[in-house]
Amino acid sequence: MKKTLLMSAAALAFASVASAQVKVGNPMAVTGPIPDLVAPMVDAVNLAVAHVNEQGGVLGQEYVMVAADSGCDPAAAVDAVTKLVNVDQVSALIGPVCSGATIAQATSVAIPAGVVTLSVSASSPAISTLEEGTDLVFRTAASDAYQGVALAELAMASGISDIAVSYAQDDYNAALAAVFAEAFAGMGGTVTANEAHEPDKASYRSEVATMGSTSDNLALFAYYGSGGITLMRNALETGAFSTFIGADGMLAQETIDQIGAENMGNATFTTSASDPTRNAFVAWSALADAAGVPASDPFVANSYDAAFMMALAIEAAGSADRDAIAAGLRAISGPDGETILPGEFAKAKEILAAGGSINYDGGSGPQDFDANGDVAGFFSSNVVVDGSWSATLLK
Amino acid sequence: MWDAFGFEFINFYLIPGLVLGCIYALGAIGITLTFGILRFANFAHGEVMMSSAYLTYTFMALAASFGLSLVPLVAAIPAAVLTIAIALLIDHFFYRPFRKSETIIIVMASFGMMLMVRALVPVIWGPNQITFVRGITPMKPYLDGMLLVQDKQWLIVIGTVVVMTLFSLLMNFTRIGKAMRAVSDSPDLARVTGINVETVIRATWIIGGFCAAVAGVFLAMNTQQLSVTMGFRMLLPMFAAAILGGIGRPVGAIVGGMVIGLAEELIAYPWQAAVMQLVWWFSEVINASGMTDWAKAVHKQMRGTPLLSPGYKAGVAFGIMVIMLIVRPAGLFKGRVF
Amino acid sequence: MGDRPGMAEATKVLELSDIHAGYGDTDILHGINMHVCENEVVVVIGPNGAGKSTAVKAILGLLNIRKGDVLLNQQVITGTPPEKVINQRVSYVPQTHNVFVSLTVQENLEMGAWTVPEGMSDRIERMYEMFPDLAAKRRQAAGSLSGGQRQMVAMAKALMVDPEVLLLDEPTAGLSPLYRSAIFAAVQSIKDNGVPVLMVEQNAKQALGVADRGYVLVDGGNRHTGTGHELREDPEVARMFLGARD
Repeated sequence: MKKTLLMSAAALAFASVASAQVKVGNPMAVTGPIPDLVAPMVDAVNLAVAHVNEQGGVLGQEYVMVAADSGCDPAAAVDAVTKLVNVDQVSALIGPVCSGATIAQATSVAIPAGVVTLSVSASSPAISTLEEGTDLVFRTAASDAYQGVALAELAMASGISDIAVSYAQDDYNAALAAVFAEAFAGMGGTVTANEAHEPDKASYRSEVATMGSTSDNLALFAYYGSGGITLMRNALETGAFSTFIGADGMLAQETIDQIGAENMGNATFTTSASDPTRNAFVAWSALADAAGVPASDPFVANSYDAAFMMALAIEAAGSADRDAIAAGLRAISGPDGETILPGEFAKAKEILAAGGSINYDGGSGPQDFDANGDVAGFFSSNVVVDGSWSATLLK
Repeated sequence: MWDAFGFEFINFYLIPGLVLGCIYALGAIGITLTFGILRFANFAHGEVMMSSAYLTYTFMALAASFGLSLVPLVAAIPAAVLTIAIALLIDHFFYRPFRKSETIIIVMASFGMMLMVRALVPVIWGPNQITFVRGITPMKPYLDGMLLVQDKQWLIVIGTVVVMTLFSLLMNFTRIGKAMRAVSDSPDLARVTGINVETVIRATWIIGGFCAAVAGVFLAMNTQQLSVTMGFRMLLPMFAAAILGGIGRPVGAIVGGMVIGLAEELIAYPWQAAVMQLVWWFSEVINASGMTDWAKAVHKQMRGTPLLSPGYKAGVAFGIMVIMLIVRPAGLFKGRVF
Repeated sequence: MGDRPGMAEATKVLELSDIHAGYGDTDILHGINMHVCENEVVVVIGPNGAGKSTAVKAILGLLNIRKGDVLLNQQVITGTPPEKVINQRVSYVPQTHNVFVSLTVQENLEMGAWTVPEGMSDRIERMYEMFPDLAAKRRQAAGSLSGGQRQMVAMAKALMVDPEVLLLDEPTAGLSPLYRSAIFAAVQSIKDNGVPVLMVEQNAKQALGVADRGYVLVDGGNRHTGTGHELREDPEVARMFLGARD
């Protein structure tokens, strides 16, 4: 009994030391199939944290991001988030990056523990309806229910009438492929084959050979680092396909470096993008440039927005308690209230302190959450120009 | 798009299957040797393969920084030496202390080793994939353009045949090779026969390490890229190959590797369409035009559909392994049963 | 080589003196004494659990000796690890798993010569002369041979080092009567070739027939000692073993 008392006293002492900080977990996919994409996203999160702390911190305390690695892998994400929730006792989570990882950690750890997840890039449509009556999963990236349609429109517009679909077997790519195939067929196109492929195989020659007999065009939904590049290379080597379209997962410099820019003349990939003409993007872009963060790279603005909005939400809720955060996120995301642009944390605090309401407008978009915690977004199409990706905003 | 006639099966299914089988077989030799001689399942074997690929890349990059351009096979020589040294050091510091312990302890040690190596590689080379060979490798036409083979495919298959020939000569005609087979048969008897078991164990790591080094370089050449999980991904098919062939039977590992590699590629062939094609040809021969039209239509519909979705490739190796363990646990070549 | 007269004065090749030994904490041998001289076949018999095989393993250093000494050519080798005992040319044929089944007969003999590789092929040929059955099967896997032939391979393999002494652990266990006789004949010819043999046996009557001397162990201690003939005639030994053999 005495021992228990001592221990709880010790725990209290620790808790009071820790309470000088507001801790949020950031389990991004630092390793795994898309490390190149994630590195600037981590930088953007840290930039948001720096801005918040420069302007007085959250609730007058230091805003701390506890990093962990979800590896773009459901099992790794569950491990990483379990540690964040149980050991680090974070108030909420931003990240994880990949849809499969996000779904796994939310259903088996975050939701049962009552912790809010604010994903920065998980775009699977399945995430919209994940919460089962709770209001604990949000995201700053648009659902692929929109991107798949945008990609299908793009394909039709570029004169593709038949296409084979190959997708990696994971929550993100499978869901996106399904949306795309349905939209493309709905627009009058023919989907000649629609096959899953196992990620991370040494060779995809048989896959591309089988599908290559049906069409010259391939819609490829894969992560570049877990088979996407190999599959595309095999398709080019065997001459199975000549035109490629796809989405975010392939959009890395690594893809160009490995396959060679000269071989990628007929490859177009879409991604979630920002509208550069919006005020919020101009503000974000200035902040990002000053810090050397690539403002327009995939999901980088979304990452900043997530970290910044989490700080605003805790400030608005007036507490870092786990159960106050969902309401806080809804309170600061608008659409009503005074507009807060990226970086304007002190201004937001002032308005909140005076009893006003705010509406965060992020670099990646207006960030107004719907009932499912989803946001609308913009998309860009990307092609290789002079050895690197060049983006065009899709309206 | 091409016509589904002719050599498509050979070019895009059989040859890639053989190439993959070669890599699995080389890797499985090491696994089966360790299983047979040291009596434990070495989970770190895939990481040894990966180390060799990364080291080869490093030697190529080093040479390039001096203005030299090394082909992978030349850079692989110092890499293989280093890989063998790594295998020996791992054995000395992590496995040897557990030689007289329960098997499960040394298995866990190898599991830990696997995690350690896989964590160390991103520390040294970064978590990103590395391009091993840039660009795409064209397929060269043979036999009037019907047979299409890449140079690297020739190299991998011929290289594997050479390594396996050397390996089989070594196992059957040298003193140390025979001693390895003897220890694999019965370590206790080998000990009371006076065979120096530690020497044999060192030879095992050297030979298994060499095969793993070659397999790692071939794997990197085949996929043209290096990644942190490349070795781990090979582990299940390699274990499946070793079990299929019979634990402790190098010949079995070679055959098993080939079977797994071919099976993984061949299940994705549209076999139903091939059958329909036969029907189509047959109906043309017997002049049944209605049947020809029907067969043509069904063939067109089916030719884009693999027999089993390639998404289940990994399941093939696992399936073969499980069936083998149930039906014939000793494997094709009567290996050890645990 | 013929028998030397005056066996009692013959040089002791191997000697166990007052050995207390066992596995773990339990002693199985409670002070046994035995020795093997040059040109001798010595048989150890006794009921199951008497410690016969344990005594052989004690010689090889395969188990803990708590008290007493093992001497090889008058040198104390107590506690020497098995590898070193074998390097001193003490050859041992275990009761089971005594050949490398996946190796050929020839390869088994080559492995037998591991510690003394020089002049190996001559010695292999000598073995084929001694065991003509094996010559025809030299390229066959040892595992494909019959039990009796395997036992011969095991003995030939053990003889490849020209041992100081050959230790056999129940060489006829599970063999047909025909092969049993062949094995005992082989033991006789091994002795005739100048290699002393210490043999643990269940088939006491036949074994004592080829033995120069024998020991009867009971409960980890010496019960009877004598020449093969004496022991065969001993009524107690007869009652204990000779009537009850399989």
